[in-house]
Amino acid sequence: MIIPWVVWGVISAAIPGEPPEAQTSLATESDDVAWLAPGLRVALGYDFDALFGVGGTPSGGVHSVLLRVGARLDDRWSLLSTLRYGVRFGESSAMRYSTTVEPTLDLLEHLTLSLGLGLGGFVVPDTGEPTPDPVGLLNTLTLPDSDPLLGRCIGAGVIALIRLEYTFVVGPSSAMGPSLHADAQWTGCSESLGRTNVDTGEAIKLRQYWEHYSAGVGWIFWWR
Amino acid sequence: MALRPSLAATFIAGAMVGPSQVLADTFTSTTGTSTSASSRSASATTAVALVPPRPLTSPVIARPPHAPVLTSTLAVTVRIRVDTDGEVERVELIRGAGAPFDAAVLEGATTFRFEPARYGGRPVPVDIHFTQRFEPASPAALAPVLAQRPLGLLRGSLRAKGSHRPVAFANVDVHSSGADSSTSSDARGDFELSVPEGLSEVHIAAGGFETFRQEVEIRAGEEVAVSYLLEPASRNPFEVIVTGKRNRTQVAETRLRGRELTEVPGTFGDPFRVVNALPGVVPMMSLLPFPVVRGSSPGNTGFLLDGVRVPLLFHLLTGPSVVHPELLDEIVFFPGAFPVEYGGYTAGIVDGKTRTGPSERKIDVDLNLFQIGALLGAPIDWIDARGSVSGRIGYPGLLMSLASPRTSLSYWDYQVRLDGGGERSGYTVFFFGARDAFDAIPAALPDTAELEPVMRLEFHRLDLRYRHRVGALRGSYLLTLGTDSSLAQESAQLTSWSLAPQARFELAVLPGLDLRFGLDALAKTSDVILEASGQDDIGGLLGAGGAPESTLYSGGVLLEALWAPSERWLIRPGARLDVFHNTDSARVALDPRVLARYRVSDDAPEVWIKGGIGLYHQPPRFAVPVPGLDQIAFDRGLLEALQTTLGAELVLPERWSVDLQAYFNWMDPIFYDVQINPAVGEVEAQPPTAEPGIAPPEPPQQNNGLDDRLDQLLTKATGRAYGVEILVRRQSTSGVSGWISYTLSRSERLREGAWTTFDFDRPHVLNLVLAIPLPRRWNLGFRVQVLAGRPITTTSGLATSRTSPFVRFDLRIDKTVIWNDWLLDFYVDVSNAMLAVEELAPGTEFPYVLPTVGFRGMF
Repeated sequence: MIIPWVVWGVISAAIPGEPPEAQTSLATESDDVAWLAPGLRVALGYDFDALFGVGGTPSGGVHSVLLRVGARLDDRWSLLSTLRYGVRFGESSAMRYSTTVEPTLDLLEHLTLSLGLGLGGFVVPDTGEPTPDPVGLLNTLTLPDSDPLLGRCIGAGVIALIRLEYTFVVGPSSAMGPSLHADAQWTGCSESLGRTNVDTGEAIKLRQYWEHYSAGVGWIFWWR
Repeated sequence: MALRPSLAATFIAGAMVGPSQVLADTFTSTTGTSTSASSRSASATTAVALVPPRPLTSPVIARPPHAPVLTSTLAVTVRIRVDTDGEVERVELIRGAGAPFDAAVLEGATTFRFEPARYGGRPVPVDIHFTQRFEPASPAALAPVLAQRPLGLLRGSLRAKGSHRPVAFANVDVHSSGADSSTSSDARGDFELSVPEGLSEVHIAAGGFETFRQEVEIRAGEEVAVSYLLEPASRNPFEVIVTGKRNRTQVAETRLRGRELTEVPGTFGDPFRVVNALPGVVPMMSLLPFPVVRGSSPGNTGFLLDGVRVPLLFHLLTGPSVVHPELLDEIVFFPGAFPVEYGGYTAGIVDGKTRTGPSERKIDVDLNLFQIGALLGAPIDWIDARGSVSGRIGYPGLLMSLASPRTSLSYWDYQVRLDGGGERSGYTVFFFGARDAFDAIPAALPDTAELEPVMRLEFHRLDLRYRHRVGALRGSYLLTLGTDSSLAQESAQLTSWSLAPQARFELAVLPGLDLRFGLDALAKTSDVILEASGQDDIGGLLGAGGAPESTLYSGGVLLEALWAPSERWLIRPGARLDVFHNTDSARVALDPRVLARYRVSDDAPEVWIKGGIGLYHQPPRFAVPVPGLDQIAFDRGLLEALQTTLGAELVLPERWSVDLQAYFNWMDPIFYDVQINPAVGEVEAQPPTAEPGIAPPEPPQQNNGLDDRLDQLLTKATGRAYGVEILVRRQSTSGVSGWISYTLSRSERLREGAWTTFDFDRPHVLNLVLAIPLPRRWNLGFRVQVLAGRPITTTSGLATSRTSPFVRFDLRIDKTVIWNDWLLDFYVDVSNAMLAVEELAPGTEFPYVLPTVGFRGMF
């Protein structure tokens, strides 16, 4: 009975040894320390906002995706930029977007505060109101207030926001967490009346300024 | 305290390509990259493989004697010219660290020996950057400790994560209690080290890699084998892209390669869309990829794949191109002044050059919101060939259905390529095709009704190529078989079959004089099946005189000399003669052309002056390629253009270049010119005002009859275009790259005895494209495009005002994650990120944003 073991021993001796299992590096620093290191930060996120329009301008719930890009400057400060694209679903669907620059401060460990300022806009194909058609309009006209409301709106303006965010560091390269935010937006809307000034070739439009406030919650995934 | 020089070194090289080679390249290599690794990478990205120089001696420079004691790391960087024998020809200091260290590196580098770099198998001289680091020695006194403790042997192998290339000449430091020991890996990435028994910590440092740390248990008298994977710091360790000094034989040519093809923001990684960011190009509208080149209709620019016209370049006419991006090695763009090799176009040429199959197995899979694609490539040893199979399936309709459930869009494409042979002769079989489908529920039916075909576009091509070299003669032969079909709402169907042989020859007649000559031919038959009225019109367009079938024959001969009367001059006189024949008529065109370059200066900056003049003819074509209907009857004549170009080129250090061109084109006659602006009379008929509460009256209906439209398009016209283009560009695979292009131009048509600007004339076009590589394998890309408004009609006349200018901002972020055996690239691409509103026509605004996220795996 010993013969098979001898044969196996001979065969084993003749077979070259298996190459060692490849190993990758152990962590050279803790995840939390790595997360505080200066460098690029990129995030994708989701926001839900309750949008309040002043003076009869559109309101409702807005679902948004976010792309945040920026740099952590040191263990307390970051400078971020956020692109946000939101959709209000329903009969009167609309798109809301913004681009903000956000200096961000680490208030506490993992808790950050961002103040943002930038450009925000709307694309509203149908407000549900008929398009006002002033008498004998030859050139673009700016309406003094939001009554009557434009039938459509394409435009952008200024947005200011505040964002409070908590992040869980989930690895050497990633983190995620919830956020609370609120913003105010002033939008210069315009609606083309579908005809032009035949002498200048310029489209005849109605303009109107809209004022909005919103507050919401979100969840953000970060990479570095 | 002893100093120990670091073995880490980084090489960056730019290949000096020989004068007979057309491709231009640079390469980046990292420490001690071996020949096998380099050739694998080069073949993965270039049609002609460049093999970087391989160090034959350890590129380590000893600490200079009497050097000061170091408390921190010092680095000295030099540029080394390695000649065709592998000898170091010269060494120049790039960044110093102090006299004794600089002198040691400048002197020490001259003793390096290399196996020379090779391009296309031939040795070529290259410049490489070499960095030598000097680090403080470990404070531990090694020898006495080792003498006191039992030792074991640590035997290791260092490989790069992802690519598994050897990591050569890396520092290996082992720290154990009371003793440190160190060594370096050899050219194969292997090392051996006697280590005191017990638990030790291994630290590895190598240029181009993240710091590595591991623990290992050693017993006295035993040998421990380890295999370590180091994480590359660069973004794509599979990629070796070469940009270098190229043989400059063209006048108005821009070549795009590597990341410029697939990572320009706003293009969704599509190489052919990048052309819209080059000088001389005006987009019809920002989302439409068909370019208006130097003031000509898009149908006058040739979209080619390896020199063969593609009957459908962009899926669904506005989507991605029909070729897998990884199959493209480069895009060659001529805004004008292209050589006689290209016939049948009067504006520009966009020629995508495909690459040969990889020399090692390659799998590339990508997935984004609109499509999924894959490329599989491998050598086929039993027939001594290389093959690749690629394709994509698009599902843009899934997203569209959210907004419009009554429509459906889909597409697919495929490419199969086989390359065989060697240096003297070889063959290529390339089979490719694509199909687009657009379905919708008719307006009269409810949402629950079934989708019905609205449009089908489909083509298939088989290219058979053979090339050979006999002495001073090079020849290549191509036979293209094709079938196209287009369907519009089941009431119109076009089907065509084509056969296109081609031959090219190049003969080195005398030193400084090469002759190129060739033959082109095309036989094409088309069938029209039309249920509705208009069959006569379509048949007429095809040249069948109203018959449902038509046949087209064309043929051409070309001859060109590449004459270099001195080292500074290159003069290219040439001509091509084309004959076109269809059912009704025959046309002959003679296109003489002369291109010339003069090198003003050899030293940096290298300066060239260049110019060209030539005659160009083409049959009328639709504005966009449609399978089966790309070439229209020429019974009213061929389009003709006289193109003139004059320019200068500066080749600057650090891979910067400047290209400046001025041009004047005279186009007479023009047919099928794209016109969208209404006549003055139609504008005057519009009601300027409306009474309150009363809808403004509808403007008078234009005659939308097919006959009128065809008459308008086929009306003979005359045009001229002139302008200045500038391109400031930096090509780099490791640093910031991109370009700024600006075009100042005017394109006009002679209408009713007066020059009027062309409907798509935009006098100012500015593009800024920037790619910034960042640590941890991030890449950030921006693109800004500024377009002046296009002309519109007012009561004062045609083109007396313009639409609003348009500024578009695109963003792209790439992150590469390296796993042990493969790479994962994650990207976000946002086109028109700020939702800038484009005014297509007065009062017609188009706000849009196109964001997408995608993943790409490379194995």
